Amino acid sequence: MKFQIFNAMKKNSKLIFTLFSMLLVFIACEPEEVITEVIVTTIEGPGQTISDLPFQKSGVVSASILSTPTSFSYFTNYSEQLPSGAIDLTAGNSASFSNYFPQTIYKFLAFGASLDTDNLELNRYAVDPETNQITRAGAIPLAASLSQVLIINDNLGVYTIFDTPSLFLFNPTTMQFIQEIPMPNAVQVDALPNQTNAYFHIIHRQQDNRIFLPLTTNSPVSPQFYDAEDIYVEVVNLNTLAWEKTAVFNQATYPLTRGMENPMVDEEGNIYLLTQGQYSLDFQFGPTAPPRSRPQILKIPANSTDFDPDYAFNPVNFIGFQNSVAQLCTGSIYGADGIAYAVMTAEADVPRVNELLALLAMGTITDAEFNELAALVTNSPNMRWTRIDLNAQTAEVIPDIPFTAGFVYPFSYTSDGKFYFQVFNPDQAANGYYEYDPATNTSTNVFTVAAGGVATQLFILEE
Amino acid sequence: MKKLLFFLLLVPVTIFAQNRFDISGQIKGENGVPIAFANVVLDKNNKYDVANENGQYRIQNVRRGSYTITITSLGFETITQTIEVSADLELNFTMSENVQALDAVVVQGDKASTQQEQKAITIGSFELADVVSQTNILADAVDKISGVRIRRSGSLGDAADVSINGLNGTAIRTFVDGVPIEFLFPGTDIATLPLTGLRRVDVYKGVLPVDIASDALGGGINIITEENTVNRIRASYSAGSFNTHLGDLSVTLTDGNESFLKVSAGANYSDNDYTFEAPLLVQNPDNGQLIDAGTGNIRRFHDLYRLQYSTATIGTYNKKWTDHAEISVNYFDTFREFQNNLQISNIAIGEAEGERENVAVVAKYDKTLIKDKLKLKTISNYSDLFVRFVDTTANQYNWLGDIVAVSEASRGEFAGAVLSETTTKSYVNRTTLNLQLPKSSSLTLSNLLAVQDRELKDFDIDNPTEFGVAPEQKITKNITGLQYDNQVFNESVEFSAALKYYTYKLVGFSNLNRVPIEDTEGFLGWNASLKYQLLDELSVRGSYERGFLIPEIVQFAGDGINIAPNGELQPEESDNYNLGFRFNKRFNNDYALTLTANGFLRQQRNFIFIDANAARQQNENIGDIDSQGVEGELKFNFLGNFNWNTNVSFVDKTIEAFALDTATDDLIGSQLPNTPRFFYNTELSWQTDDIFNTGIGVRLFGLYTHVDVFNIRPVADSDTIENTPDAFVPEQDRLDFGVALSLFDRKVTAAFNVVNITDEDLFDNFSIPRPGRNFNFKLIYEISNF
Repeated sequence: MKFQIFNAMKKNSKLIFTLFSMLLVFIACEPEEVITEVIVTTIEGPGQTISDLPFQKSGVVSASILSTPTSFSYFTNYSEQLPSGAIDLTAGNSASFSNYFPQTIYKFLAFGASLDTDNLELNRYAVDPETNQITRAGAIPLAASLSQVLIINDNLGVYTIFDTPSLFLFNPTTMQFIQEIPMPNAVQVDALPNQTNAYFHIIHRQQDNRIFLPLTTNSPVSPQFYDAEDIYVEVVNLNTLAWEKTAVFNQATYPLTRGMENPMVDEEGNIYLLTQGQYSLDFQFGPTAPPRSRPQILKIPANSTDFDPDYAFNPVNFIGFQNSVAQLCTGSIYGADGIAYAVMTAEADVPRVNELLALLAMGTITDAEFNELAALVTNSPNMRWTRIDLNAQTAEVIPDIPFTAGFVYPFSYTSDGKFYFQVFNPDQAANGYYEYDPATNTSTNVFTVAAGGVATQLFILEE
Repeated sequence: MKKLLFFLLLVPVTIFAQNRFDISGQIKGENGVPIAFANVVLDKNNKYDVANENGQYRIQNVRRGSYTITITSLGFETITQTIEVSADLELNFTMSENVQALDAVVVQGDKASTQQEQKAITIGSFELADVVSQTNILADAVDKISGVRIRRSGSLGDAADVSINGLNGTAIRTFVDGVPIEFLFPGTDIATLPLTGLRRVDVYKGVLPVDIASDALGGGINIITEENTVNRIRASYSAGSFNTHLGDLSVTLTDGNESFLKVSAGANYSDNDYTFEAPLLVQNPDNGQLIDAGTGNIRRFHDLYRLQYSTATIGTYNKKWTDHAEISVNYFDTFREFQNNLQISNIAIGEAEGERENVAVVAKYDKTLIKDKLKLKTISNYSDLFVRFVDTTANQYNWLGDIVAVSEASRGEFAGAVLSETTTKSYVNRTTLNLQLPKSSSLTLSNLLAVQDRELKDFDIDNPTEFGVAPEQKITKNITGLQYDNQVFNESVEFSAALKYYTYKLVGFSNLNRVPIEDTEGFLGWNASLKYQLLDELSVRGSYERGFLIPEIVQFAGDGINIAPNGELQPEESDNYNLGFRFNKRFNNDYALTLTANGFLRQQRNFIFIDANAARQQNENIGDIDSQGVEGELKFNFLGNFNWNTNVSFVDKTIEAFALDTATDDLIGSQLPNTPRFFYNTELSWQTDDIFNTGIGVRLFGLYTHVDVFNIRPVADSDTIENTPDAFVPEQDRLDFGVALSLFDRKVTAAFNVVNITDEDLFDNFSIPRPGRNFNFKLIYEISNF
């Protein structure tokens, strides 16, 4: 068998070998340019107003999260109107992101952690008018992960970062950092090994221009989610740009509402704070559990920077589940005239929960059983969106919205006088949003996510 | 103490006298072209060798006496000659062509690796001698095998994730002489195990024979160590880009009383300071504020790797009481800096580091009984591994190595501050009995017993004298296998069937109240394989295995800190189906072709997964995954000097069930992200044992590797690599070239390799950039039979 090309290669082997060796030496010696230093020069940018920003200023962004055994993605889809019916968030002009988690929405902008990288950043998200897709529309690098962000006005926003006792100010229009307000005398709980402290909830009271920062403290060595028995709220005066004090409320825990962390401040300046308790996972459960282990709503009255010691009530008790061994209340949002909304436990305990809690009480529960209990308590679709009268200290279930697993994604929004509540209940094929009209006390299904995973955030753009 | 051990193992020992001899030489055709893979057999003591690509052979450790030596090779007249051995012999042979024999092709005279590839179960195999000049990292050589995808960073010392026909992670086990590497050399893998003393690598793509078997789901890699039967000194040194240096020295001494002593030691070092495009975060000197300065080409600054190791082995062979017995002491000491997390962000890791020390004792014993009918083989190991991990800094670094933030309250660079020490004690034994039965059949009984004890101390970083001790965690595995092999119909049908019984016992303590938790399980697996020689050149083969993967000790017992135990965790299961063919034809002495292709299906059940959204993190049996695909290999040898090898793989991996609390139905049937789907490599090499009549051997190679673009997370229909680059790993094309010279009567090998010569962008898991163009130079010196 003859292969001429191979014979030619054989004849020219000396040439091949010589050229090959020269090539290797040449390539190995090629130099490379490397950056070792960056020179920073500060240049004043042109004046800019929020209306100048070149983004979509109306419409709706629907979102979902899809988790697989190896990774997860958030899907977003922009539409001019509220979507309806079954929607596919993976098709059309939908886009995916490694992280899309708006922590606050202001007009037509959303703010949260880095959108598409692992960078430690505060990102501004907006809708690009050319692609109609969410885009990273500005960033501020951070020294630690973002804990919470809140926009005060067009030119002032505030944020906190993980395990850092400071409040940071920035301009949401220019995305320029303004200054840090350190809080060296703020409470830092360190009773347990490697305990961390962070502010995941920010409240701004417009009436006296103060910021209130409830502390969340946690140690990795304990199973519960809040490793203290009292609530600590740091108070910062934005007029003097200085920390003022720590407000304390005894026997309440976990001032974190999950979802959007909507601040609840009424028209007079009364601040209401939902504290979750410990979901009974701190070995305290049932109606005899101490108040700190169960949900409570607390109050800092208008013109005061201290808690009202006489104001504390458990809204779950008012919808008839005061005897539930485990109570959850999350996703709070303020409406008007002393009315707020939240999603809370609204179903009797299933027998298995009681069995497991009995084991917990006896101290014989295994980790596997404890995790089963935690999953039953936190991920079961046994919660309902509820109307809370903050003045009367009562609560009632909103009609026509199905039971939901309201622990993981209890998102609530308000726009144009209406409220939008996330619902996830695989048993009833519910996975989307319901619209609630307080004027008529009626609820209707807006849309259901048919593809793209679990419905997460709704972002209604307003000018 | 352990450091002292390292140096003690280096102490030279008594020189033994020589009373055995080697026979070596070269086999050529009448045209002077070397004849590759000829069989060279002595008529006594089961002594034989197979010539290499250059026709060279060596039969070692031959006793004094008279022998008949027989040389056979396909297409050539057989040579038979009587020889007298009283000293080392160099015998060269010239073979005459036998045209008639070409018509009755029978595959014979293959290297051990080639013989492995012809078995009924699908195996990819290579000899270390064939790759040692080309790479310092075993994983790179394994990556060239069809169906295999190795994912690792470009840093020396980083672990590798091995994927074989779609399954990866712990589903694929690595063995050394049939013993799981995590017990034999804890903390090492095929990317970090030094090449010293290794002989061959077999990659089992699906079915594992009982004498290799552990609880692997989808195949495994078995590394075979070399035997020590002749006096030998071998030293190698390699220097390369990124201040990388690898050196080792190995001395084997034998005596006339069938004993040997081998001492080896080595050290690996690299700064791993390769460059890549990174986000730049800098500090404004005016106000201390952090600024995003875009991206730039930076040099990694905190990725140092250092390994020092030593081994001492003493043994004997051909005694009445044993064919081979040896005992070894191994010491490994590793130090590692860390530079990045799973993904590149604008913050670099600048201080986190870890160290490992491992001391192991290994004993092997082989004996043939009942007139060579029964072979007993046993290997035992005890190892003590100490791991310390330190991640407590308050500093945050940018990619220029500058501190850009300091936060005493927020310490730790990975995920919170950690200062931990883990001690793992492992004991393992594998014992195999192989009984040759009449009519080309055999029965193999093999048992693997493995015990691992783990103790974790997690320090409070604010007060390092106080620490929490996680109670002892222990896993005991026992896997017993019985395998029957047979050849029937004039050896045209090869059949094998095996039963494996798995048991395990896991002991741990609950995170909550330190209540002991324990789990004991037993279950039965089996496999079968069939090969049919359809034609002289063509065989077809199929195999099936029902395999199990016992949970890792951390998966079951938790980590004592963040991951809760789950005593109810069940083993992962898989059904593996393989069907393929092998075509092999030698046209004449100048041209030979081998084509192999296999289709496969892996049905993985009870997939273990941590639900990050759960109230507490724990491992759960949460999903089913199917992997299916094809892989093929083409080997073409032409003109006696040229070899062209090409491997192609296509894998499709889909989610069949996923029981996450927040899972939705639309996930079912979708592609599993972060799985390379289409990849291939092709290598052209040319070699001669005497270039320009200088006596210098030369090998040149060029290797091209391609991995197609794939998504690392779920994507929307409109997502592309252009508009959503963070969701994809781009198409990767890598071209390597190298030259190796064999000098001074083959005592010295000098090699020079350029990796990624075109400086393409390459990535590991989750898009961590790998090095651009880099080079290495290697010098190997070896003398034997002195």
